[in-house]
Amino acid sequence: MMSLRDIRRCIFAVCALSLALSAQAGDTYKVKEVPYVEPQAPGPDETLIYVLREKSSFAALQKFAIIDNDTVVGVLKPGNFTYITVPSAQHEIVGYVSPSPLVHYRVMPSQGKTLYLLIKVGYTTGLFMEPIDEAQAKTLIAAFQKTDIEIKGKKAKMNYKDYYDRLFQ
Amino acid sequence: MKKISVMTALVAMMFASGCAHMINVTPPANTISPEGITKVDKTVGYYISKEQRALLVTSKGGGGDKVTYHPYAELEPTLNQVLSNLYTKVVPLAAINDKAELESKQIAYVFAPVITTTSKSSSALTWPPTNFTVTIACTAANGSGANVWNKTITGTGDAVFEDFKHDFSLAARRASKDAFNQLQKEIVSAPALK
Repeated sequence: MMSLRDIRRCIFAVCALSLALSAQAGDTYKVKEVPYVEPQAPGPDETLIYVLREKSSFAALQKFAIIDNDTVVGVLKPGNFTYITVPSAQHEIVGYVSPSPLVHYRVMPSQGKTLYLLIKVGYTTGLFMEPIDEAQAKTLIAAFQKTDIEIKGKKAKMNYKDYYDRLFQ
Repeated sequence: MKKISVMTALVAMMFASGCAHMINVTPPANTISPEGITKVDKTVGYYISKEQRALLVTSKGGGGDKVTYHPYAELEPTLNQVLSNLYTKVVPLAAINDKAELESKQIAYVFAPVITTTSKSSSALTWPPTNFTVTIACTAANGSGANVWNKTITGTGDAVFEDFKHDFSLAARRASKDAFNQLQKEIVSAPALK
């Protein structure tokens, strides 16, 4: 007789296998790795946001689309990062793997500041986005690869700022 | 095909068994609103010890699994945010009762939270908690070190699969949001902390 835990392990094994087989390297946004050029410091009414994705083998074939509220601004594989300069305001930064957002972080108005967000994607180490300090970010940026997308400004399925507002009401 | 792969990734993560899974208990900053609050023109401090910051808590998830998190490290920004909503200046303190520091920084009150949590899940198949509580026992001392206020509040958070598939830490974050909003209200309405 299989225990509940055994059943869960079987389901996990099937899912993991299916994940490996079905992982897609789709290129909807024409993502490419590019040399890192340090961006200009944000203006007094702007915020510079770096988004980094940790280097981990879990779901490594899944690309995360990075969405700012309702607009796709980047695509990350493990060990990639991107950055955007936005008007200082609330921004919901989302890591999205079709058909759903999986991780998110609400950036508050931060005039003239630079923020660093790390997407953790791990089997036991978590699946969430969190802010990290500049020193840690600089170390990762030096080791990671900057990516850029050719197809910019594409709208997401919805405004995720509103979506997560509702989730936390 | 993509949809299938993501759903399998999600399902695989949530069905993975026998592990402690890291979550993050920080509520989104926009959920702790300063709306309607007039700041008190005072400098306040808060004290969280090194040991508290490093504390890693493991509690129940679903299906016999566990979740782990750093309650003090992850909720310190929220405590700072609550106090910044209420007072003009907030300072993290290295010691709870260093008279010289309190004097030099003109600290009116020192807040010291003790945070405890519980979690559980009604699901036998997925690990993210469906119920979470955050209890904050908070004291405030004046600049001379005398206790002037204390309160214990508990925030609760629930989450069902449809919601937590977009944030595995959702129940915990909802509980933290509830707890810190209550804490903010309690401090606002405490005459001893004006």
